[in-house]
This record gives sequence, structure tokens and C-alpha cells, in this order.
Amino acid sequence: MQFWYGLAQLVGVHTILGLSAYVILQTGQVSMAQAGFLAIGAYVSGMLTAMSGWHIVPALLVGGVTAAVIATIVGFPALRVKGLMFVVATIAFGEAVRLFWFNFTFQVKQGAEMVGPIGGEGFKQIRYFPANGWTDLDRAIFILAVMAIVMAGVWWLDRSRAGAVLRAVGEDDLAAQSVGVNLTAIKVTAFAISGFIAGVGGALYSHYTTHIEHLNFGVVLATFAIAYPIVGGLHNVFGTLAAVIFIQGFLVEGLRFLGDWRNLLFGFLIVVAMNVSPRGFVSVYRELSTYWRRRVYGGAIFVIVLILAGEIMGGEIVAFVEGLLGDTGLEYNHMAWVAFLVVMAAWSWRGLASLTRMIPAGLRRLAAVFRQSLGYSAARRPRKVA
Amino acid sequence: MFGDVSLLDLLQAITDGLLFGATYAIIGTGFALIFGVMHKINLAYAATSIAGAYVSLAFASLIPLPAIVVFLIAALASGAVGYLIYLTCFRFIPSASPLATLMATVGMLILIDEVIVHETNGMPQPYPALFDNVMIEIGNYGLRGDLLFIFGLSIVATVALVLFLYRTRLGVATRAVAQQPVAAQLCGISVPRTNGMTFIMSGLLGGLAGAMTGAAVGTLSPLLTLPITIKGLIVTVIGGLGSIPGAIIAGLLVGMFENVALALRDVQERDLYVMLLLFLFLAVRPRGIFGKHSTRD
Amino acid sequence: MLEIQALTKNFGGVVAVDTLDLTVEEGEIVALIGPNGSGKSTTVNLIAGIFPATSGKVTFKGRDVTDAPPHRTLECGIARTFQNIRLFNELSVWQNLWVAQNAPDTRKSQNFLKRWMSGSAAARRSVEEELAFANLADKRDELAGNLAFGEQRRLELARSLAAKPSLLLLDEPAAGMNLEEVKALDGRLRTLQERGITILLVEHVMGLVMGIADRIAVLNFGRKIAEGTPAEVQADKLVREAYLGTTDSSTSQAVP
Repeated sequence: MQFWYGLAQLVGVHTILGLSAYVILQTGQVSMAQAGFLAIGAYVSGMLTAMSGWHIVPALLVGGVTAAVIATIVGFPALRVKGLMFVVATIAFGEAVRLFWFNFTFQVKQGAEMVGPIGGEGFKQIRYFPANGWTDLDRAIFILAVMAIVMAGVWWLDRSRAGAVLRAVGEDDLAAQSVGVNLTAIKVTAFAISGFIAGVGGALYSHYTTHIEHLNFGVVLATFAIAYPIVGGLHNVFGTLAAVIFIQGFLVEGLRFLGDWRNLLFGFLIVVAMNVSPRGFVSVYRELSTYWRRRVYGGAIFVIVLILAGEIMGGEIVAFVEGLLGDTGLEYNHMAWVAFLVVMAAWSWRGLASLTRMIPAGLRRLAAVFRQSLGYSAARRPRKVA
Repeated sequence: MFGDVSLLDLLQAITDGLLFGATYAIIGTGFALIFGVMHKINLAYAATSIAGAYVSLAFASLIPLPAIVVFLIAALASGAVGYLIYLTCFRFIPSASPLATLMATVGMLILIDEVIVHETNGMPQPYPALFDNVMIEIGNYGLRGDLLFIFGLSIVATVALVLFLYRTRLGVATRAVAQQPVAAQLCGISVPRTNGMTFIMSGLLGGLAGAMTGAAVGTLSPLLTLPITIKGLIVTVIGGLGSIPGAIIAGLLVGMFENVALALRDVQERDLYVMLLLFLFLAVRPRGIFGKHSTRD
Repeated sequence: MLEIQALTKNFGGVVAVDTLDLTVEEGEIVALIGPNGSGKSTTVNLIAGIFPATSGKVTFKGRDVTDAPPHRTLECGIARTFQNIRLFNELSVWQNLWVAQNAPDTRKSQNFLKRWMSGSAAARRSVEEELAFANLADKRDELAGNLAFGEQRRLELARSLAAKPSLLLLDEPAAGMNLEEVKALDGRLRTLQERGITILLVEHVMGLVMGIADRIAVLNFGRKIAEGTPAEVQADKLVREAYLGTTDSSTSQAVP
């Protein structure tokens, strides 16, 4: 069960990170600064709990507020530029934050040892959770609770007038300005909110990993941060959650058996996901018929039941299945995913039949499109009308 | 601040930086070319150039080849990779979804990097350098032969690009599609084919830049991708989005500035100073050196 | 109410607007006509503050608004529509109007928190009124991008009214409309005039212009070549050569 608690914590923190990017992406600005804000929240809250003995909740809030304040300060000049220039400016900011923590050393004596961040070595003693007797389950519940609160907050923001204004700015900022929206105020506020959210997420991150260093907060993490809302879809907070589960749960953990090739598949799946659902998972989901939606939900529930059964009934089921799997290197959890696909297809045999039709049709389409890309016209033969 | 760095050392640093900056100039030009035509950024570009360099290395380890051929192979391989990126990230994703394109290029970046890591088992590979034992000396001041070669090659490549854009039909078609894709189609220009060519062209440039970087640094490693991407983006922004002359000047500027910062301070702080240069430009002249005039924000 | 003095705008080497002088009195409907490229849209953009003028002065109700950016000119009471309809296509009709509730009066009725959350009752009432004016009350939840073209134009006009302007700048509001729609637009503009809103209209559809304008100014190559009542302008030789045409055609007949 430890595995699932760990995964829940990871998903929770990354969803918060994704939501931070979600807010600023709505205004049409692609920000690579989220990892920097995460870092600020992580270090500041870590210092407060480990070095000044604060309770976790106020430390979270102060971490978030610090990040928000810095976001406001950086936002004013940064938001004067748009598009690509803003991306580069935020990359530079993120790197600057990382380099700052790389050079930052501040320690206090606690009992027999020195506690605090030491430049390149990082900050090793963020032991609030273990020191106060929090179990894995406690941590997972806490992180998920904070995630739920953040999701609720952003959901509410979406529904409010503020959300409409943010999206109006994102869609056509000239028109927004012409109907009286103060662009700078809105963009800076959105940036500050996203900074706050990332700061809170960072605080959670540093506490559940207990050891952070500057390398954790680089451009790669910033890319993940924007990947979640883009892959998930910018219309709905649940899209971001789905994307986090997809990317972190499915790719990072579920495909661990692929070993080193995992990252490669990750890159490949991102490319495929973007070609298939350019507007995000949510838009694809909305277009799914009830037929398919039922299958997705049903399959997911079935998989969760299988996994819980494996955990609760102890090792016997797992041992049995893994005995069957022998030396293939696969695990019980991977079988759960396979079962998911089987259930989806087999719910009604029509599902399988439609798959057998979809594959050749898909291949034909691919071939046509490839021919097109070479400059030939694809409409050589009259097509059969279905 | 100057510490124990003499004026001669400074001059040396400036020259070396300027010459090496030619690689940044070429990368920036590649970015600018794609941005100018597609109005989107190709984040996988650095991967394209590194991949080409690796392919050329693979060939070079099989058959002994003159170094200039190695460079050419790198360029051609990167051209092919560039076209692949066009197909996977730009061709089929609707132009109304720039974020999807951005993410797809990130995916390709990861994919290409991983392939490289797998094929080389993560070990950095040495890259053949040209004229590295040549040094034009003027007293204590030297002009490194390999850097001079890189600089010269960049000039040739840039001239070739300019000739292509302004003297050939395909070049005119590229510029037409960049300015008015719909009208270009009405004139019979195949937009997918032209854009594909643009990516191939920028890939050729990228491959040259990758080979040049490998030659100047002496080793190739997939870890180079990230710093090259960031430098390329910084150069594009400083030079002005989509402007090729701007990218060239900015590349040389950044190369020189970076090396001077390295000489005066140490390695850790070098990147910080480049960031500061970027911030300076963003604050004072956001549209870059040759950026187009934009309406009031 | 609106005074434009020697307004000039250079774009690189092109002089789009050349020392334009124009006055619009309160309650008037003034039309700005001329061939394409004569600087009409540029003038509207200059007044609204989309880009700064090269030289000259724009005064509105005594205040100098020459260099004011768009949201400032809106605060002063100048609203505008766009030639190529710039609605928020991803937002619903209702949300398009809601986002635009930025008139100084409406703002006063909402404190900071209310503005961000649900808006005040006054703002909602205002949105309902505008929906009624635009005849779009039954389409309030429809995405703006899904509306028919005529409906989009009505929404664009209604959205510009959300700021409770005293001067409305309309950039080719009748473009692409058939005769029925032009008549309806004529009626709506008269209603607005009755409400006390001053209108500066840029237009090519002469049927609308000749019927509704109190005064017309004619631009050509960025300069004003004529000004007067519809009858005067129609008779002016320069105007006929440059724009209206020298044959007697039905395009100069007013909407009945």
C-alpha cells in the first residue's frame, strides 16, 4: 500500500503545480516560472518548520504568500512582453531562482547538528512529518486534502467573473482592453495567484520528500507544470488532474517495467496525445459518446477494485498472478492495466468489433495523410461511402 | 571586479567568445527561420542539431572521413530530423492550438534525447575538431584555428541562406507563406511542402551548429540539449523574434558576453550574467534588436 | 464634445491620417466616409487609443485623451466596435457582456471582491438590458463563436454599450448586412441617439450613412476633403470624383 500512498502524494503535489500553470495559461501567457515558485515555497516553508519550529499549515501559507509576492514583483516587468518573449523571460527567472538556491547557505544550530540549506547540497533535514509522527496515510490524506481545496478554489475562479475576464484576456487582449479590462492588473494578479498555488505545492513537496536541492526545480519540472494543463485541457480543472494521473501514474509508475525506455515512450505519447487531442483531454472527453464514457469509468472502477483486492487480501492473489507471470518482469499492477483494456473492449463484443474496423481505417487514413505530406493529392480513388 | 585578468586576457576572451558565438548565431537563425514562418517556436530544435551531430559521429566511427564531410553529414541528418519534427508537431496540429504544438515539440525533444542516451549508453562521445592545432599567434594573443573555422563556416552558411531566401523560387515561396499563407496557396504554392522545406533548411543549419558545438567543445553529450535550447531562445529574443540579422548579431553578442563573464567571474555565475543580459533587453528594448514594431500593449 | 485637432499618424513612411480636424457635437451622429485606405479606421483607432498619434490633439469633454490607452478612453466614456468583430468566441453571450461591465458607474456599485466574484445586482441588470437591446436574451448561454453573423454584430454593438459610453465609435457596423439588417441597424442607432449617445460612424454602406447621419466628413488619402450635411456632401464635386461616383446611381439613396 506504500506504493499507492506515495503515488497519491506525488499526484497531489503535481496537480497543484499543474493548477498553478493552469491559472496563468488561461490569460494566454505560457509561464515556465512555476518551478521557480515551487522552489521558493519549498525552501521557505522548509526553513520555517525545520529551523523555526513552525506548524505545517502556517508554513504552507507563508510559503505560498512569499512566492505570490515575488510573482507580483517579477510580474510587473515580465508581463509587459508577450508570447515567446514571456516564455524566455520566465525560463530565465526559473533558472535565476534555481541558481539563487544553489548559492544559498543558511544554517542554525539545533541540538547537536546544523540544520538548514547548504548551497549545492540542498536542504536535507525537512523532517516535520516523521518527527511529528505522521504516517504515510496521514501524509497522503493531507496532501490530497490540500489538492482538493486548491482544485475547488480554481474551479470557483473559473465560474466567477474573474475567470471569464481571465479567459477573455487570453483569447483577445486587444478586445478585452477595448471593453475596459485593465490588462496589466489582470495578468499580474493571475501571475500572483499562480505563484501562491505553486508556493503551497512546493511546501508540500519539500515536506514529503524531506530533502530538496536546486536540481529538483529546473526547466524539466517547469515543462511538466505546463504540460499538465495543456494535455488535460484548459477548460476544466479536472483535465489537469486527469493529465497528472496519466503522465505520473500511468507513464512514470505504471510503465516502470519498461525501465530505461520509459522516458522515450513518455515523449512519444506526448507527441501522439497532442496530435490526437490538441485541445486537451477534456475536449476529447466531451466529445466521447455515453457509450465510451461508460466504458472508461467502468474499466477504471474495475481496475481500482482489482488493485484494492490485491492489497487488502494480502499477498495470495498477487503471488498467484505473479507466479503466472513468471520471469517476464511484469507485475501485478501492470496486469491491472491490461485488465482495464480488456474490460473496456469486452463490455460488449461490439467494442471489439469496432476496434477491428477502426484499425485498418486508421491505417488507411495515416497512409493518405502521409501521401499528402509528400505533395500528392490524396483523392485518387473514389471512396466508399460508409 | 577585474581581479587578476589582464587586458590581453580580456581581449582574448572577447575574441574567443565572438567566434564561438557564431554557433549561437546559427542556432538563433534556425529558431528565427521557423518562428518567422510558423509563428510558433520549435523547442525540439536543439535536439535536432545534436542528433545530427551524433549521426555524423556514427558515420565517422565506421569509416574514416575528412572532417568537412562529417560536418555535412551532420547537417543532412539534422535536415531529415527537422522534417520529422515538422510532420509530428506542426503538420497535423491545427494552427489554432499553439500550445499543443509547443507540447508536441517538447515530447519530440524528450524522445530524441532518450534515443541518443540509449544509443550511447549515456556516455559523452568525443567529437573530431578541425584545425584544432592551428593557432595564429600575435605575441601572447592567439586566434584559435578551430574557432576561426567555425566562424568562417557560419559566414558561408549564412550567405547561402540569404541567397536561398532572396534569390531562389523556393526562398520566395517560403517568405510568401510566412507573410500570407492563404494568399500563397491561392498562388499555387503548396504550403505543406514549403513549410517542410523550411524545417529542412533550419535543420541543415542546426546540424552545422551541432557539429560546430561538438567540435569546439570537443565532446558531444545529450546534456547539451538544454543549455543550447535556452541560449537559442535567449538569442532569438534579444535579436528580435523572427529576425535573422537580429539573431546573428545577438548570437555573437551573447557568445562574447558569456565568455567575458566566464573570464571575469567563474563558471557558476556565468549563466546568471547571461540571464541578466536578457532581463536588460526585456526591460529596455523588449522587441529585440531588429524586432518588428508592435502596437501598444 | 469630441474635438480632433491636426491629428496625424505616420506608419513608417505612410501617412495614414494627415492633419485631420473634426468636431463632433453632443447628440450628433457624424459619419466618416471615404475610399479604402483613406484613414477612417486609423482615425477611430487613434481616438480609442489603440496606438499613439504622431502629432495632433484629441479632446473629449474638455479632457485631453490623445495618448490615453483603450481602457482609459473607455473610462472617459468612449466605446468602440471593431470592423472585423472581435468577440470572445470561447465565452458565452452572457459572459461577453459580463466581462465588459467596466463603466465607472457600474464599478462603483461593486466593491473589489464583488467585481471578481459574481458582480453586483446592478451589473447583472445592466447585462440583461443589453441582452434585450440586442435581442439575444434567448441565446445568452450560446458561445459567441457559434452565433450567426448578424447576431454577432448585434452582440458586438451591445458589448460596446456595456461601458455606458457617451460617445460610440462604430467601425463599419453595416458591413456584410443585407437591406433588412441595415434597416434594423438604422433603427437601433436612432434609439441610441434618443438615449443621448453621440455616434461617430465609419461606413461604406451609403444607404445607412445618408439616412442617419446629421453630418458627414469625407476623407481621402488621410485628409478631409469635404464636410457637411448629406445633401451637401452628395453634391460636392471633389467627393463625387474621389468616392461616390459621378453617375447618378441608386447607392446614394437614403434608407426610407
